[in-house]
Amino acid sequence: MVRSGLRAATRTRAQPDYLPTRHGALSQEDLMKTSILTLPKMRKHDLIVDELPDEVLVYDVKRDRAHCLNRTAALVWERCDGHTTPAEIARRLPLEFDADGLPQAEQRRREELVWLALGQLNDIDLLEQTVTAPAEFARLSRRQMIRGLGLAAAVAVPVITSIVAPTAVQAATCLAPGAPCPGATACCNPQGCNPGLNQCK
Amino acid sequence: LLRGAWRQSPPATSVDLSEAQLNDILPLLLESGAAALAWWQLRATPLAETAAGRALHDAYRRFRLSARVHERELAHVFALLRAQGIEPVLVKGWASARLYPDAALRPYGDLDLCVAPREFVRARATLKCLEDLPGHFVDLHSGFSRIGQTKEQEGYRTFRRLRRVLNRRDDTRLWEQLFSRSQVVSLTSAPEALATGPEFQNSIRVLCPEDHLRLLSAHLLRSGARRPAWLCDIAVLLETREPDFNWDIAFAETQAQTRNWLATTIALAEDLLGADCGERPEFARSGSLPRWLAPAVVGEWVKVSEVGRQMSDVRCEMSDLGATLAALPARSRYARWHNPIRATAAVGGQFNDWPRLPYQLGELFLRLPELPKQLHSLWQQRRYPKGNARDRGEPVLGPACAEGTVAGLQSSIS
Repeated sequence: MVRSGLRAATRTRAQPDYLPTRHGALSQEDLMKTSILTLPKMRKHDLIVDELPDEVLVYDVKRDRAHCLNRTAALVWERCDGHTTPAEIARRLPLEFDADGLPQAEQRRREELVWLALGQLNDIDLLEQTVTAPAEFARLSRRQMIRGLGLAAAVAVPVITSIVAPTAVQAATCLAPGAPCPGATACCNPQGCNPGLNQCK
Repeated sequence: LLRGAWRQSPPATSVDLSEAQLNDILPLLLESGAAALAWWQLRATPLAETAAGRALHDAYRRFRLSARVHERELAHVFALLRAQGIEPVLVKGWASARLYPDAALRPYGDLDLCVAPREFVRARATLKCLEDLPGHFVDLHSGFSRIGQTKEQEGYRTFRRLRRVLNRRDDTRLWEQLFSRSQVVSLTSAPEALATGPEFQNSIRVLCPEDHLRLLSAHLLRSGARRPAWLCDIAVLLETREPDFNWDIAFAETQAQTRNWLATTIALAEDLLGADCGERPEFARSGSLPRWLAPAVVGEWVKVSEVGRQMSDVRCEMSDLGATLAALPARSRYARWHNPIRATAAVGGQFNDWPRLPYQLGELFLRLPELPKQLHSLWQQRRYPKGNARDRGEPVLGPACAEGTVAGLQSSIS
C-alpha cells in the first residue's frame, strides 16, 4: 500500500521559540522550514514489531493489519520520538545510506524522503498524531522521488507495503472456533459447528 | 523443494525448479503451510526474485508475525494457568518451532496444552474466558494419551465409554511419567519482543525430545499426515537432537504398534524429506517403508488444498439441503475415507505392506454411529440463515472476563 502524496498543511500557528530535542534546541530556520503542527511520534501501543535485517514488520493488533516497512521507512519511523523535526531526521539519514554506498543525497532530497515516509506512516496509523507536511513537500510521489534520486538510489525511497494479517489455519489439526465449518466433525470444539453462524463453536 | 529446507543453510542442490514449475506448485505451498519453508530454501536463488518467490516471501513475513503473536499468547496462557497452580505442558506448535533456525518457518495454529487429568476441569474453567477471544484458541488435553486423535475419533460412540474406563489409570500414569521428564525452556527467539509483567510467563514447559518425538509421530499418523509441516517437525527434531538423546526412552514401554509407528515416521522423514537421522540403534529402524506409504503422504499434501476449496464450496451450497447431503459425503467424507494412513492409525493398525482396505472399512464402521449426529448438524445448518456476529456488527468478544484479559494483553504490547 503505497500512497502517492502528502496532505498539505492547511493552517499554521505561532511556533514556540524552540523545541527541545535530544541534540539541543532546534533552530528557528528548521521550524519555519517544516512548518509543522506536531512533531512526529511513533505509535507504540497495540503493535507487535519484528525487526529483520532489511525491513521491519509491524502487526497492528487493534486494526488486525500487518505492514512491512523497508529500511528507509523503518529508519524514519524509529526516529519519530516526538522531539525531533523531520529536517533533523533527514539530516541523520545519510550516514546509513553512505555506508551502503548509495549516493549521498542533498538535504532537500533527504527531507523529501522523510516526508514521503511520514505520509505513508500517517496513512497506516503508525504515528501518534497526524503530521501535516508543509506545502513544498505536500505533493511528493514515489515516482517523482525515484526520478529525482536516480535509479541507483531508488532503493532508498521509503516503501510501506501491507501484508495479509497472520492467520493460523494452515497448521491446525482441526478448525478453530470461528472458522467456517461444513460439518460438526471438522471443528476442534466437540460441540461442533454453530448452525446459525456456520462457524465452529 | 522441501528436502532439508529447515536447515540454516539448505542444500542448494535440492532446488531444481523452473519458474513455471514453481508457479504450478505455489498454491499448494501456500495452502499447505509450507510456503515459508519453501522461501527459506529459495531465498538465495534467482527464483526468490520471481512473482512466486515474492509471494512465498510474503508468506514468510506473515509466519514471522504469527510467531510473535503466538509467543505472546503462550506467555499469557501459561501465566493464567500458573496463577491457578496448574502447570501445563506445551506440545507441537511452538514446542517444535523453537528447534527451527527461524521460528517463522513453521505455521502456527492453536495452542496444544496438556494438563494433568485431575486438573483438567479446573484448567478448562480457567481458560473459559479466552474462548471468544480472537486468536487465543487453546486446545486443552487431559494428559497425553489422546494427542493427535481428532475429536471425531475421540467421540466414536461405540468405544467411548469403554475407553474412558480403560484409559483413566493409564492417563494418570503416563502423565506422571512424561511430566517428570519434561523441560522448562524460555521463549528466547526474540527477547526484545517478549512481553513482560505479571500477566506473562516467558518460561514454557515442553516434553523432553524423546517423548515429543513419540507424540509427534502419533499425531502425524492419526491425522493422516495431511501437512508437510508435521513431517518437517519430526525431521527437525531428529536433526537437532543432542548427543545424549536416549533412543531407549523414545522406544521404551510402548506397544509394538507404537514402535512400528515411530520407526515408520522416522523412515518417512528420511525418505521424503532427506532428514539426516544419523546413527541409531537397530530397533529404531523400520527396514523398508511400506510401498504405498510415501505416495499416500504426498497425495495427502496435494489433496489439502483441493479439500479446502471443496469445503468452502459445500458451505456455499448450504441453501440447498439436497445438494448438501449429496455433496458433503461425496467430497469431504471421501477425502477422509480415502486416507489409508489415518484409517490405519484410527484402528490401531501397523504400517506394513498389507492392503489397507480392511483398515479403511474398519474406520468407516467406527464412524457409522456418528452419522445421525452429522446429519442433524447439516439439517440445523439448513434451518438457520448464514452470517456471523462480525458481519451483523455484534460484539465478537464474549464473557466479561475477556475484557480484563484483553486489557492485560494489550497494555503490555508496545
